[in-house]
Amino acid sequence: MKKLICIILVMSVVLSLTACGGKTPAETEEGFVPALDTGTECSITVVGSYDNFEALEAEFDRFNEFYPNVQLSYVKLDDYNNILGTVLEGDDSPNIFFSHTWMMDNEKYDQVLAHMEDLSDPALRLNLDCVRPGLLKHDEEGRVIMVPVFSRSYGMLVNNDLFEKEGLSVPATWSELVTVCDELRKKGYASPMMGYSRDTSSCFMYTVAYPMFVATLADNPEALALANDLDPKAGEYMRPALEKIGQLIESGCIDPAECDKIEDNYTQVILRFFEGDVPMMICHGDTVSGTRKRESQSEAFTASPFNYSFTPLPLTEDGGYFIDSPSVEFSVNKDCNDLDMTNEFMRFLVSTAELDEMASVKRMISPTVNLSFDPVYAPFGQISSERIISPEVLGITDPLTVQIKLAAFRVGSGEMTVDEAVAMYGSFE
Amino acid sequence: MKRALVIVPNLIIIGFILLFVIRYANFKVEESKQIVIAEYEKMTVTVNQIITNYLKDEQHLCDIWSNYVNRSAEAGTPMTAEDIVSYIRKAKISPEISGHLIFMDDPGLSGISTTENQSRPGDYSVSYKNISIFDNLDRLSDEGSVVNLTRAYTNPMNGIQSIAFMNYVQVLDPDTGELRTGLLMRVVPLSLLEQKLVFLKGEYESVEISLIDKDGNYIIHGKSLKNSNFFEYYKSYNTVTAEEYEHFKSEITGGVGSTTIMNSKGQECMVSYTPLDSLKGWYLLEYIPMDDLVERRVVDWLLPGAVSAGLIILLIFNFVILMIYNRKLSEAALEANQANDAKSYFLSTMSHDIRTPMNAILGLNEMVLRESHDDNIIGYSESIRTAGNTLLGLINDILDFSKIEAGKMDIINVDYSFVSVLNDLVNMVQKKAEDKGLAFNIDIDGEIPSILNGDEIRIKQVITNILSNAVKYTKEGSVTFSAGYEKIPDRPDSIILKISVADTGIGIKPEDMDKLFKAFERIEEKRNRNIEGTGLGMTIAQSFLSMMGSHLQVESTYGEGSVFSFDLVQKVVKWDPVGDYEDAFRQSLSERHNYREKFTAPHARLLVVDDTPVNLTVFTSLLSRTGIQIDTAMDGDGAVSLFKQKHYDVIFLDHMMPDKDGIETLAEMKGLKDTPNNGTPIICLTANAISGMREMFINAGFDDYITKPIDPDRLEVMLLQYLPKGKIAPASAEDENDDYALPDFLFHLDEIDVNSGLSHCGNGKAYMTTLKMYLDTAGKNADEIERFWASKDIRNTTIKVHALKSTSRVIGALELGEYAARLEKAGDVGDTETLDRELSDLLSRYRKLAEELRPLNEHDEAESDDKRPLITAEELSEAFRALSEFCASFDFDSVVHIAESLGKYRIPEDEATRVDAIIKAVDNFDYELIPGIIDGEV
Repeated sequence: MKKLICIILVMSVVLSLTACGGKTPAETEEGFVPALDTGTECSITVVGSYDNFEALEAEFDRFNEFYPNVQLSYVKLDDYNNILGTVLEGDDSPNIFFSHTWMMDNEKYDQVLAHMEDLSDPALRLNLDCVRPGLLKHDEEGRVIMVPVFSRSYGMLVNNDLFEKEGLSVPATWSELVTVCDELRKKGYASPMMGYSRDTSSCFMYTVAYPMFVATLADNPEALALANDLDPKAGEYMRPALEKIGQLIESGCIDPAECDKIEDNYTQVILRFFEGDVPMMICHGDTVSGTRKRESQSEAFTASPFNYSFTPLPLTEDGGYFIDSPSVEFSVNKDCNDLDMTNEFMRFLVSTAELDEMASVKRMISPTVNLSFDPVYAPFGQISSERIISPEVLGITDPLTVQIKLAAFRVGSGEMTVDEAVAMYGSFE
Repeated sequence: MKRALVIVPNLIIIGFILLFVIRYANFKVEESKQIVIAEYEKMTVTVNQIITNYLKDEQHLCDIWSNYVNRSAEAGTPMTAEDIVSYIRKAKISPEISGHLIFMDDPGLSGISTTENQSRPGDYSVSYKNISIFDNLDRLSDEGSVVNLTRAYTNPMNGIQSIAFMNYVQVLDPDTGELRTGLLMRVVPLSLLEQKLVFLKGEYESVEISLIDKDGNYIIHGKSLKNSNFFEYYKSYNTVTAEEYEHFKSEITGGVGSTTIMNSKGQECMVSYTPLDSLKGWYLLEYIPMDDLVERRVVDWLLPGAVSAGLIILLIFNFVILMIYNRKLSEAALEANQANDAKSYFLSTMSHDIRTPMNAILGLNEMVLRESHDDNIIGYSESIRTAGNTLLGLINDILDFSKIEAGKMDIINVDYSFVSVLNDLVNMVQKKAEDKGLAFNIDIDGEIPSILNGDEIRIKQVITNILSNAVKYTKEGSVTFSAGYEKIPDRPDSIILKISVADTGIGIKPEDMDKLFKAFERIEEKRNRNIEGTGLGMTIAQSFLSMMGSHLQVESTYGEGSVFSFDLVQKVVKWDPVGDYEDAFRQSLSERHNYREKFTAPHARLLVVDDTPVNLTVFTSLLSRTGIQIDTAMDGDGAVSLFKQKHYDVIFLDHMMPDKDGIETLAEMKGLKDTPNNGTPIICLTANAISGMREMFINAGFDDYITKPIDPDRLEVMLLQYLPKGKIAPASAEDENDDYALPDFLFHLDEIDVNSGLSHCGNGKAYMTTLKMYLDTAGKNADEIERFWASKDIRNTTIKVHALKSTSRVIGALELGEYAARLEKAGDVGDTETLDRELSDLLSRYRKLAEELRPLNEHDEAESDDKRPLITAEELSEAFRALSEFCASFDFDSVVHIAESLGKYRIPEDEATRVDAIIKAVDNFDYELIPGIIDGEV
């Protein structure tokens, strides 16, 4: 009997050890396999505009499991968009830097673009297939010089517990939205919807208008060319979007005066939402990324936590749109030191697992085809494919975006009428 | 010894030692760690000093610039921005350092730089519009810092991470001619500050330096400390409550010290902190993973490792040694067990060997006592009985002690009559006391229940020991035996029997009390050397009492006497009181008389089996007056043969016999079916009295057992128990003088001492039987001795002479016996000369004596008053035919049976000689002669 027990114990130990040791090779086979000398010593610097990028720093740690002697660091550059070119020209230029598709349409960044490596080069073996095709933009030469690491969309944060408490359903269509807002107002919520309104950056007017304008352009390809050319004739195509802002205000869904109390377009938007008395907070995905960290910073939320989610704005009777555009993209400085290891890191990072992991930590929308959302983003996962619009695929340019942004802000803030704004298309600066 | 008993304590001790070593090593490590941490904190203070000095120096240089500018303004020659930049270009030495002059009243926070924009050559304009580094400028100045420093930021002119030292200057606006306030910045690449800390490399390889403000925002950011805020970083990777978080913040900003945090990789890290001397509200942090810090510990794990290895080696060594010793001990134990077995065997043998002759001594002595009328002889005989009993007592003591020591002594509770116990005790001791002239008093509580349950034998043994000792050690005065009882309230079925023995003996000194219960120790050995005993009596008594849940108490006054007492719990079977025992005892004393048999049983028949003829003689003699018919057999086969033929009321079967011992014989008897002896009790006759024998005999199938030497009283008691009641009659009142009459001629034979013969054989009839057997075998024996001697077979000659010695002594031919003994001794030593010289003389005397005894046969016939039926010619013929057939088929058992059957009939005179010859042949085992006798050839 003792012998039998000993054999069982020994076998258990052996099996346990086998199980313990078996995971790493399996993961390595299916996942990332180092292609360079894992003992390589070097430094890789990623520069960007984020104050914090702990999600990326977590990836550094994971990469260090394969290359323990590679020192990776993230550096936030002040005045990023202006200084990036200078930094890239410096002696100690970064290996990887934040980039945006609008840079490709701006000759000011030609110098920056000149530093960008073609990431679609087969020699680099980057798995670009893991990224949703609508998020990948090819330049005129067919190159991919930016890889999105996060995706952005437009919508509203919804306090689900509040809706449940008030016995209401989250609206999915325009008429439901108007009705729900009316009900909420009657229940004492002065402004059932809120959003940042102090300036154009991330203001709620733009968040409302942009998806509708893009959708309109998507339905009218001839208008897209006019709009991209900043032809004033394209102004008419803004009208439905601009009118929708007015309708929101006029129907009492949103009170601009209440919105003006929100001091900035990020932290204060989140903290105001966390007060718990805002049923719907209009914002874009970048703002949602800050919610997790600020849950603990909000005394109100800490005292009375509630369930919330990010959902498309129901601006039509068919529901809302999922405007799927890149938020942050990475480019590789082809003139940097240790380019091989830099590409190795990119090869490591551009994978479904790592991009999803990073999006999860940052609470951003993952750019992968997997579309594995955080539960907060669940409503976007339920949107039908025909209502998903990719501005990059459509060919929306940055100047166009500026026009709708300024027009929406000014209409929403009462600085001009819809007609005036429509007439001014192409001349907003 | 079980291995676990050795290994477990060893492992526990090793565990404790290792625990101590590890704890001590941990303590030393912790101590070392504390030293390292203290050094680390000291280093932080040093770094603080270096940084402070550096920052002060840089601030000082910035102040020199600003003072120069401001003094110019004060002197009425204010400098324009171009002048200032030009001045700074000249004043600064390091090309890495630049000066920025910013106009704070400009909405674009723009100004001019000493160096051109790296991406726009020739462009010296600079703007801090999108760089928020001036938020705390006023606050810091208000707090009286000697250094006005920005956080680390990206130099808008070259993109290099830098810090800037600042001071206000008065600048002439060339367009308006008025003075404007400008902010003069000495912009220093962060790398220069890091170079100042290069000395740390090698000392603390992975240390990282950070500067934070009160809110945790980094001014200078260590690379591993993620997030833009140290406190947020702490909160992200350390599970803390809000209170702990606040405490951590106040700890970091509260002074000099160190703390541990978890980093993003889950590693424990040491963070030492100190407020910057030069910058109020800014704090220096030094961060290092704990593993990198404690690598420098002084104590390594070699010590506990070496100790562990040493202890394990020691354990294995000890275990091996232990195993070796255990093996030796096992061997020794085996040898000891073998020795013990040998001792048991020796005791068994000794018991048998001593008890066998003791049987003869005491048994025959009993016959002397019964039958002798000569007072002298009776006196001598009494002495023999006393000495014999003493010797038996000594043997019994040794055997009992041996049994107790071996743990084989069991307490066997039976129902017993307390009066019977008293009788036995009193009978045993009273005589001894009387012989010594001591008064033997008894004081028995008449209310003691008559039938109790307990180990009667052991109780009797204990009291006997005490009483015997009392008598032994009392020269004059009295021995008083008292017995009383108490009821037990909680146990209505039991009583406490209270026994005490008081004497007026020599008493015991207090210092000797301890010796009393020690084996083989006798108190005052010299003084009591003449008193018999082994020194075991009290030890045995105490052991028995202990086994029965009691103990012996002694009160003694030296020179005055002692009182031994004990209390014993006994179950009560019958509450009838024993009555006035003293009266009964006194009456029995007055009626005491010489031995008479207790009963007669002439119709009862016994079979006694023993390989020693004398024992058979003693046995039959002891029961001669009971009239019991006794058949004897000298071996197992003979016994089985008789067992198959005749019915016996009781069978006594010797244990130790050659060829087939008693147990084997018993098994054979029990295995037989359809014999006349189904249900006949079979009692073991044994000289073995050592521990375990009783159980062995009962387990073997015997109904009871009796030890040799045979106690006549016990034998009679046993027969009364086992004989059918219908065959037992009261003892005859006939005078014992009406005994078997011996022929007169015997008393005139010179060679024979009749009294001696009688004493050996028990009674006259037995004597006569023995004499006839002597006579019948004499001729043959003499011839055999001559034949052996003629063939120079000294060994068998000696054996035969030995037999002649024994038989001659038994019949009282003492001189002949002595003669034979002398020649036996000569044979033993190989003295052929003596044998050659005297053997023929011995045999002549032997033959002469046989010739002189021949009239015994006539006497026997004459004395015969044969009432047996006369055998018919047909029956005799049939007997002869059967004898011939059985002899031919070597079925000698049947031959014996027929021969014995013939003995039940009177034989016609014409056949008497032939039948006698046949019976003699059978008695002498000369079966081969029988056919010849029948056929008339012999």
